[in-house]
Amino acid sequence: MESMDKREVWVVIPAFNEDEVLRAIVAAVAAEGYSVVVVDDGSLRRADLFLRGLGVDYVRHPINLGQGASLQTGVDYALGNRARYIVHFDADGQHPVQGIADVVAAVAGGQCEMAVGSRFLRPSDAARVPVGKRILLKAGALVNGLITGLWLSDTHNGLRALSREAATRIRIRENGYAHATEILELARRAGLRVKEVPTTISYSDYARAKGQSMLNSLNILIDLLLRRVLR
Amino acid sequence: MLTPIQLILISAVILLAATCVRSKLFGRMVPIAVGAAAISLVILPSAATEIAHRFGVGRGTDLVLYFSLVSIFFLLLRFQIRIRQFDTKVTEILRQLALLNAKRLEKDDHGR
Repeated sequence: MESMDKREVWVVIPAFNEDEVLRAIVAAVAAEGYSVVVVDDGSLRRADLFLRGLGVDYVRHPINLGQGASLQTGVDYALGNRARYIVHFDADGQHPVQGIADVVAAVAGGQCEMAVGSRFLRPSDAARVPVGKRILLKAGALVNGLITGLWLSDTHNGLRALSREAATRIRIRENGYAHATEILELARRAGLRVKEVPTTISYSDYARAKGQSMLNSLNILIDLLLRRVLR
Repeated sequence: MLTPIQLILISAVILLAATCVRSKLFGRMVPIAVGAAAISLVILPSAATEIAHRFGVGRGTDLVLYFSLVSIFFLLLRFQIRIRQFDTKVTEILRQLALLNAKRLEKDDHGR
């Protein structure tokens, strides 16, 4: 990583109604020297009000389109600004900033074209996942494996790194939360190598409140099935 | 054992979901076919029952009901597809708009 210009690493942070919480996370990522683009997904209160003076880039959807759509907007922006590596990063503070370097290193080291975070590779990380969440995530990984043929331990981790080349070959069309599976499916079809990298997830009350409910997982599943039939 | 009508209806649903639902021509023919069937059955109500018997269905009204359900299924799928296509277009328009209005929040002393 030493020889790498960190400004060529573009961190895409989609934000929807994160308000005050957003600033600390964005500031922490920007302080590492990475380029940051915050995609405000039509938040009720404009997210740039909370980001003044941070030296980051800001794109705002006029209306709410969904997390998948926000990520793709951020990726487009980064590709237009000489990104060599693109990182997806959740705005709710569940990923440690160090995770960025970890996933980028896997891609930069030539081990893969896309690296995804996993909270199930290290026992210490896995132990932090609440039981209900663990069952849900394992069910998600099973569905994901059946659909994409990629059997990963943690398919719904918001931390990912892509090479520029990989980012140009994956175009997210699932505007909602089905994008996690879609990205893996597209990666596999494009013949990209995908590698999991151990990451820690912190379950703050805030992240938990913002996280996916059981009911919404059903919505995601239906989206995924419809996607098979309708396209 | 499946009766003829069960076979027909099941294969219709599968066929529609798999292929015809994407066909523009087929999508336009369905309303015409439904309209033609409606007019024919109004003129010859007893025909429905005769046809129904041939397919192993007791009453003509039941046959009409079954085919109505298949048609509704077809229409729902088609609407879903159209809505998704529309979604994709709207998203792309709004994305371009958002990218045009992108801005840098300049670093200052208040930022860390």
